[in-house]
Amino acid sequence: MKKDAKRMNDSCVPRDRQPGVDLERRRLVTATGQALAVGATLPFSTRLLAVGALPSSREIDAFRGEIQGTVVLRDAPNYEPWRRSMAWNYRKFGRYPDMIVQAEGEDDVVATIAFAKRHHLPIKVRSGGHSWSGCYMRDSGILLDISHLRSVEIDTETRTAVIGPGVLGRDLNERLRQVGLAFPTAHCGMVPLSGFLMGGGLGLNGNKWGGMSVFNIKAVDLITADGEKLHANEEQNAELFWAVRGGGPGLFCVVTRFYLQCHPLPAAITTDTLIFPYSELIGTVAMMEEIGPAVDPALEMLTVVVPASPELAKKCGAEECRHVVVLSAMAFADTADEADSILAPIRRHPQSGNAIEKFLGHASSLEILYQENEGPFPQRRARADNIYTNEPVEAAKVVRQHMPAAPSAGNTPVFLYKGELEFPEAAYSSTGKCYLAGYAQWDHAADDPANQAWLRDLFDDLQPLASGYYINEFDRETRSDITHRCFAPENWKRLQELRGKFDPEGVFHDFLRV
Amino acid sequence: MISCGYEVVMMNLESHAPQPDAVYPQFAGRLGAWCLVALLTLVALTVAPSSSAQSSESDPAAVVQELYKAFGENDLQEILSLVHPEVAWVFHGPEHRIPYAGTFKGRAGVEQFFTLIAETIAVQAIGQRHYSVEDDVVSVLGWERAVHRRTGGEYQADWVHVFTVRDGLIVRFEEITDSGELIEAFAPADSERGKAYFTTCVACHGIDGGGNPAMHAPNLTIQGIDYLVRQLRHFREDVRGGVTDFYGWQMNGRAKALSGDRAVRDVAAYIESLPDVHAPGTLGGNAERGQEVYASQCVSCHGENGEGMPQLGAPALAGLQDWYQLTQIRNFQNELRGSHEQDVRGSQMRPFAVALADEEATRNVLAYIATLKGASIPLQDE
Repeated sequence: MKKDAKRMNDSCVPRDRQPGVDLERRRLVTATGQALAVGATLPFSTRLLAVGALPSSREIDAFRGEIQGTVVLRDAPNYEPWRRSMAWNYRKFGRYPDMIVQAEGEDDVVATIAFAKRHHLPIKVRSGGHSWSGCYMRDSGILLDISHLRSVEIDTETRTAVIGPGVLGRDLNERLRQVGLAFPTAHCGMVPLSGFLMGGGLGLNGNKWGGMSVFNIKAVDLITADGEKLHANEEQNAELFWAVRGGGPGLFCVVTRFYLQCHPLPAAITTDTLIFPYSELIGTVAMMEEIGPAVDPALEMLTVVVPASPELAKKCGAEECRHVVVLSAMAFADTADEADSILAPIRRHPQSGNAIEKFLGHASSLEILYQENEGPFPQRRARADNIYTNEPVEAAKVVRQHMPAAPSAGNTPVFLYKGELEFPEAAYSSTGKCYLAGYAQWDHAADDPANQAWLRDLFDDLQPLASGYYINEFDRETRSDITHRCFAPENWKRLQELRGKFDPEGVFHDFLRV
Repeated sequence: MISCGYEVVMMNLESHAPQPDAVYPQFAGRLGAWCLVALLTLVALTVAPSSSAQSSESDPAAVVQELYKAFGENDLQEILSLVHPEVAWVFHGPEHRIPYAGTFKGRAGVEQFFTLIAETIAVQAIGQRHYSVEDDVVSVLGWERAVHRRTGGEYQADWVHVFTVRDGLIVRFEEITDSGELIEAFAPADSERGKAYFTTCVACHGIDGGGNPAMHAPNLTIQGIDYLVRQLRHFREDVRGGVTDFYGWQMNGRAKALSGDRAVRDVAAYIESLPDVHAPGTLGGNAERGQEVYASQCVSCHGENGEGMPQLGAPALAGLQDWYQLTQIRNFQNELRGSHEQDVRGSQMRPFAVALADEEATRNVLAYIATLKGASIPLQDE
């Protein structure tokens, strides 16, 4: 009873005479931009009653009375402002849930689950709305926004932060900074923590702080498909805890509170920035691969391809100077001396001699790192895709072929050295020596196809080199058929089993399939 | 047929947005002024060569030029003299949403049409892209940017004007405009819609709109709609922000995510509906010394209680976080704010920020502002 199609098939009425077909047609019409006209002639409650199981207007009113939060129906005049406000990405995704609920607290979540269950409206949870693929935006059921659950409590003794799902990375780290602590948030401070964490979390200083940020979750409070409030950790409700740590956008419960292990704030975060001609992309990635296994895990190495400024293009002097290669080496050190020794393997490597510009020993901070990362990644139309790979040099060769055709200056490949990490038992299970993400960013809808095609072509060519995928930046709108490869085979299997066990009725939407 | 493609843009024809409740004369000449200065310039430049061969009596383009000229000079009688007594004057659009939509007949109808336009909108800029003349029909493709006088809603819409001219008189006029843009601007601000858009704001400014130092986000609740709308528009149009004003940069993306100017007004209306909260001072400083500076430099715009003065474009300061004010004063000093030519109000603030002697003087005045109670305390007679 998960999907409308299933409901209709259960009926004895011939399909073309089923009232539910109206609902389908409405969606089709919506896609062509005529929703208003149809919605105006067919009140929501009528349509819902027509398919039998969907709620009547009286039931919806009763639900409204039960919760503190806001309920917005598909045909409400304010639906589109609400829907658009759910998505960070300017693409807004063109998918239309039947209902949007903005919860004001845990009890609202419990009530929404009960309502959804009663009416077979599958839920997808949204906390920050930052998903590249808009995983929370579905064409049926309830979009449950829990961004208003945004408390932050910090216990300095146990170095624990207890946060609600609506908290952004910068918010947490700025509060932690004041008590000498830090957390591996996303590289952009505006990224909300909840989805970032549950999908794995490639965080700042990640190799030192847990490998992936998700492994800094000590426990969670969650609400199950039965509406039960549970505390989960490695001992208690361990199966759910296993699923939370990596099950992310396919999770079958609602996490309302994260208990996060924080770390002492490194007192001397120091960065080296080396800028290379585009022709040095392969050499730079090769250097990361070569020195990676022996460097201190508190060294984060990021290689990015960006458009060359006019001055750099002049300095580049070679044939391909439209882009330059930037290596950011971040040492999460406690003293300047320690930073120097962490950064030494790069500084003394012969490849460093090929840099056309070097900024060494720059005193940094988490806030400075945020700003450096957020400058090139403003809010706009965007897509992302990625692979983990054990053959980064081969991957760099593929990237090198595709960059000249990039249709936008915001099309940015990023190589992050991960090395051979071992993780605790959890749903998160994707690995590879190097993480390679591709971000496409642009401004106008007319440029959607060109940017999408460029990103798709690049990652089509990279597929043979993939050892895994990071689900948070995996293009689920293009490759949803291989979503399972974001997990190790046995972890994927177990995640499916746990879904069957904890959400047998399909209260929650599964992973996005487009 | 003659035809011509071009782009003529007349910017800032009416530089001051009207007060929503101002009284306008029956036939507001200012409307005529904009329209005509623009079209006239263009028509004079582009139509003149062809008109030299014909008398204005028989040249439709010249008649249209005359009409635009009369409009620009606010000469209603001249306009009426250029239209046929039986003229049909048609503005396509839903009449229940656009007061001047419909068919107007005769000279009395044309007079009514222009009166309704002047009462409804004030045009800020107008431009034309293309015109063509075929027999007695003159078609002009152009655009206008205007503000609705009552809602304050801004829009930019493309239009086509089609004139039919016979024996030196306009017998038919049709305007086909992007009425969807007009209707968005004509819709009153709706705080319920604004609540939806506010979802984005909550992540930094908080559910109560009170701001969050960890996100460098100021208290919004104390500001009036005018200020909120103006700043959101500035962020949308890159008049404020940019990557060097880092937290403004974050606002650029979020303000541009709002779906149009109507959404700007909606979210400002929602913020206005939130209860005021006041942030305490945090920076230290000598309030007594600050009071002298405030009295000589700040009070005339920001008010005795720091309540702000919408008519001067001055925001409320009382209850606004001191660290945010410090950042903004530095931004004004460093030309990160108030230096864009379109930031008229910001440019008024800039010299006052620059005049603050030093960091200590700034902290002192902020310490004094932290003692102010804002609009909640009525002004005392002294």
